[in-house]
Amino acid sequence: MMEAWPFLAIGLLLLVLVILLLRRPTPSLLDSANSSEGHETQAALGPEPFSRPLVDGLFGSEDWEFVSKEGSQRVKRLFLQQRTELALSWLRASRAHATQLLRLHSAAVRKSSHLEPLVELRLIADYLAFQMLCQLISTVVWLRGPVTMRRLVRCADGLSERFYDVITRVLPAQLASGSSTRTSARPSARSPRGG
Amino acid sequence: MSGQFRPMNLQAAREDLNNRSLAKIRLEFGRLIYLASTRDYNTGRYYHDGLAFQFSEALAAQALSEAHREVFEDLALSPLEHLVDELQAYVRSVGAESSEVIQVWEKLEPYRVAVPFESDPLTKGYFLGNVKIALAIVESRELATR
Repeated sequence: MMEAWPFLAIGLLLLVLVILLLRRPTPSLLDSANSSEGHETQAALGPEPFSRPLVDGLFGSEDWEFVSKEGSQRVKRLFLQQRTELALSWLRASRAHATQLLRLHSAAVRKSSHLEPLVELRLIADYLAFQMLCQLISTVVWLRGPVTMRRLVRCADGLSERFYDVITRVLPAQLASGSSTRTSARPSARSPRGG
Repeated sequence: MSGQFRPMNLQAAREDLNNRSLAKIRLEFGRLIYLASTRDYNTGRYYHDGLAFQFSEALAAQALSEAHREVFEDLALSPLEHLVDELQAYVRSVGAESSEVIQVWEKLEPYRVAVPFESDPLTKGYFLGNVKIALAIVESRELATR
């Protein structure tokens, strides 16, 4: 029983964090639809601005193998420095996008009379899992660079897609319309990179 | 006479651009630099005399903008090895000493203007970072061949 305490404490802490996050003042979603913040809503619901080939290239090992074979120590350092910065900014942007979506959802839910506790719990679980996975990836990237992280990143991408799907499913119809265009995660047919 | 049969079709403008101008440029990197050079530095508007004459200024600008975005994305998202080969061939095709071109590119970073206006920050950063790495590799290749 004693071994379970740390996990319970962490779980409780995360729950408090999520509640605090959701309680932060957010403008009314329906009001914002007609204002400039409506653009932010559309941006949050729109497709992620990062294409799959880009993420595959950033976290894949092909370029690193080429640099290891071809480049000097200076080139290898330059490569790792450039890619680490980019990978960390991708992770930051992805996490921010997920938080924006959750805020949007919480604002909509406050006005909704049909609250589904199970869906809400699943949403919070997905959000937390995504954030924790991103944190884990960030730590590994920071320690040893982004190469060979593709599998873990795809796992995070899958979580984010599931999170996005649940959110758009439970959002009010007028907000969700036009938001089902999350196509950028699909592999591009033109991409020369393999999985 | 000139304005009698102006096709008002973007697809036709794209084909014309591909067949008359881009087909003559062998390298992808060359096509990227060419398309970027049709954009005004101050206004960001694309302009091409022949294309505007044949279609309209607006259609010509749209065709150039689309082609620029496509060529950029293809090159930006291609494997680093491909970018290095392209850059090396481009540097050799310029008509100046390779080492001189590389040095100027490393210092002035003129390739920054080759990025389309609508490009997202991550793709832009990825491309610029890759060109920096590619330049370093091309430099070491050129040194090794001397």
